[in-house]
Amino acid sequence: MSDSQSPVVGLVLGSQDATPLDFWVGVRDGEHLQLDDLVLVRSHLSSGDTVTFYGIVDIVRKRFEGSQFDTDAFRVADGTLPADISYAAHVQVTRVEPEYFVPPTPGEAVHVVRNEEFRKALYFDRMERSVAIGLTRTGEPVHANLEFLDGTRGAHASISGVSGVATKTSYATFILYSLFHSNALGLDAANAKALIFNVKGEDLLWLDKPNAKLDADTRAEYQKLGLPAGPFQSVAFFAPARKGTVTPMPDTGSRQEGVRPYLWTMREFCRERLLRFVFVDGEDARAQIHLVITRVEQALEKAAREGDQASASVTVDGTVLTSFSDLIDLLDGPSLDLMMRGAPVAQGTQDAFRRRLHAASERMGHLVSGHSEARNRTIDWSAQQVTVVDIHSLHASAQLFVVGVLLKRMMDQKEQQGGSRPLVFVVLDELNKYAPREGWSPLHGLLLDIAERGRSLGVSLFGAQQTASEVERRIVGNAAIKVVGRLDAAESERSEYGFLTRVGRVRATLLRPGSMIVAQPEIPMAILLRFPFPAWATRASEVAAGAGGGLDPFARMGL
Amino acid sequence: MAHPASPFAEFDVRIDPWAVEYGSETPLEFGADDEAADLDVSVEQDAGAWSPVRPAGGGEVPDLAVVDGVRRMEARLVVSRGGQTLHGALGTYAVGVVHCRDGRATFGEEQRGRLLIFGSGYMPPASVAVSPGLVYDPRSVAEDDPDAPLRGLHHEMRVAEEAFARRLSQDERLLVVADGPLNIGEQTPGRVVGFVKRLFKLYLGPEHLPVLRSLPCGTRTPVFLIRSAGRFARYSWFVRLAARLVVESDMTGLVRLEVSEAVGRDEAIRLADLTTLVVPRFVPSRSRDPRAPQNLVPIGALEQHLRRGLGDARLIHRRLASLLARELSHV
Repeated sequence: MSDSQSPVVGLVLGSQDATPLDFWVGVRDGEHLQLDDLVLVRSHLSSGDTVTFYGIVDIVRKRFEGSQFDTDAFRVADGTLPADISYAAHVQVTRVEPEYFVPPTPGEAVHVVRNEEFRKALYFDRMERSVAIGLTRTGEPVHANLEFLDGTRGAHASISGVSGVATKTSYATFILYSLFHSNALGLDAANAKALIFNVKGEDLLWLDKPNAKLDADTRAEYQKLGLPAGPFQSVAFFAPARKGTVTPMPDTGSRQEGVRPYLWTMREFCRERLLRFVFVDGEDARAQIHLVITRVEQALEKAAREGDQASASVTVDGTVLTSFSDLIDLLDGPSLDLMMRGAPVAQGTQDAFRRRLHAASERMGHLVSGHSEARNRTIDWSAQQVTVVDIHSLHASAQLFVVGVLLKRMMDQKEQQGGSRPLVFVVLDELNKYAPREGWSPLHGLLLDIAERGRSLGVSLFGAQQTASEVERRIVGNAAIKVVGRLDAAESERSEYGFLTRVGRVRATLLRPGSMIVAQPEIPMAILLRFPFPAWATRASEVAAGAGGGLDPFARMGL
Repeated sequence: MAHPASPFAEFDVRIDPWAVEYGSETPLEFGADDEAADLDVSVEQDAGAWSPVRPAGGGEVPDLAVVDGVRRMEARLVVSRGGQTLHGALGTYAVGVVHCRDGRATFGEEQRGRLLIFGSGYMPPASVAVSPGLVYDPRSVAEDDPDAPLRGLHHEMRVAEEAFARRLSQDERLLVVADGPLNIGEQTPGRVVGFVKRLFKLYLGPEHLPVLRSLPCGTRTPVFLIRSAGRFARYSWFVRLAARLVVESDMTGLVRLEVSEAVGRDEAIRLADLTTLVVPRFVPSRSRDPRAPQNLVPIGALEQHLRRGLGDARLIHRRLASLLARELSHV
């Protein structure tokens, strides 16, 4: 049977088993099939029904036909041995329509899939609401079912890959761009928010600037995906306040303009019980020290509710706390003993508490201040569509503090609101640091909570990590969309990547920047795709001329 | 009486249950060598002073076309007709060519024949379709011995090979190497060389055999002329393709080539030199082909290629059995 839209590239082979789930295709002379090509076979049953098999090529091979010797290659090259070359492709079936699971018949024609058939092969026709997530290597747009990202039927994405070449954050950013700059979200778009933690470099600090290096080809790719090629339309940038200055200034290198410094007032710190996020170093969750933390938090909260609520500082036992060191001094003294009165806690535990508080103050003390300048410097992630929180310059434990505080507050807020709207997408790289599979982290419970309940609260976590095997199993397991960039060979063998086929695992070790393998619940096979070069700048040198700001040396003085 | 619709009409055809491999031990190069031949051994060198010839290399190598055929008996048949028993066979042959040119070897066209052959001079009444698309054409051989139908099949294959070689020889740029003794005697635009890889007859007299036995690898004997009553006259020469192992006979690795006398003495010597230089290139390793070195690589590959085209023998045998069973159930 001929098909005017899709040319015949070969025939179903009969020398290898053809099954409803996979089969081999002999590629016709002069035609070619490559990995990731989508094909279809129409099989005619004796009942008169036609079954269409859609599939994706996952192995291609050529060999001399018949029983042959390795040295025959040289004889053929010498021109003494004539040989037939068998060019065959293995097809993993993605869809059978209608669902008669009979095998295709050897000798039936195999077509390359185009256009509408392509959409069917990957179930795009069944997705009521979808979002573009990239292009196949042949340039066809690939979609994901939005219902698996927005909580309707699932939420969360897990992105794994070696750092440097896996472009995990870039991909998460691209998906956000696609969500916010297409009609994918529909009515939800108006209130949907994204919170991105920038953990490495400063390449996320330019999301609002067009990329000067965008060429016509890339623009065409965006067009194919139904997206404008431009910067993010609504972005707020926050960077930690610089150490040692009373007037908060953003601690960033490449850009100060438009970047707001963040820190917490002592009152906020006490009232919102943020002390627990300071104690992030301990591998152990010994109940004893937690009792101390809770007691102190209680005392501080009580103090924060007294006095002038507009003031940044808090007065405890007659001592005005204007900085984190004031708090340490206070707790080094008898105040702590007073707070612990009646609690069965050994002196050693109190000392451990003090020791850790000292250590933490070095790292995150500057993020809490009692000066009036510190007021209104917290991160408001709901003001703009996308909020980038820079934490890359912070020490690891300060990073945990910031992430913990923000996510905790967000979850509290969502809980109070109830319901699954508005949507919040959270992008967090190095998830293995925040929710390790082994060992303890103060954020472990919080992130697990997001993974398990986020779906119903409208929180979708885009977690990225070098190795999914080092992240809490339930967090990875709850992600509906699983993405891998370049993987380390040993890592690719782990069971976390069970959605990859044998061949897929090998390919994951060869992926180039900009290519990802994406698995989503409705498509039985992970798809290799690439996403376009960012249409927004990722460094100062990429900022398009005339885009304004970013390069003004005096900009920081204005804030 | 058979059913009126029987493709075999009045013949009662049954399968000889013995597998076809268990035939007689008759050599298969039927009539390949002449019984009595008159030799002229002084065509190139003085008959009394024969010595090996090692041709000088460097000449231009022509495009080569290697022609060969395979045949297969698919069933021995025992046929009865009115109390008389005769032998029959169901067999297939295929003939093809390998072109070696521009540093590439490729399979050329091929031709296949499926034959139903009766002995004792009887002709099957019609073509028989063993199954759709598997049609056997009727042939007859005069002899009545059990191997006569097989010889008939072999003969048909040789005829097809000859027709192939003849057609190819119309191209003057081609050097056609035909497997087996030559059967094109006349002058043709291209050259046809017979390549005899199994030496049933050595032709040479005892005085020249020592030269043959001690022929070094990559050399040939002087050209000699064979005249015989049954066939046209041919120039011929032996070539040693590969060194023998210590345990092997000193006739190992020898092949005999021949061209029609019609090409003339000088052309025959030129072809002898050319083939001595060219043919060893095509010698397979012993691990690749048990018939090394004589079974040249293109010939071996062509035979394998053609055999594949014959179809599965067991399947054909089974289909034939089903056909006969159907016929007999109508009786």
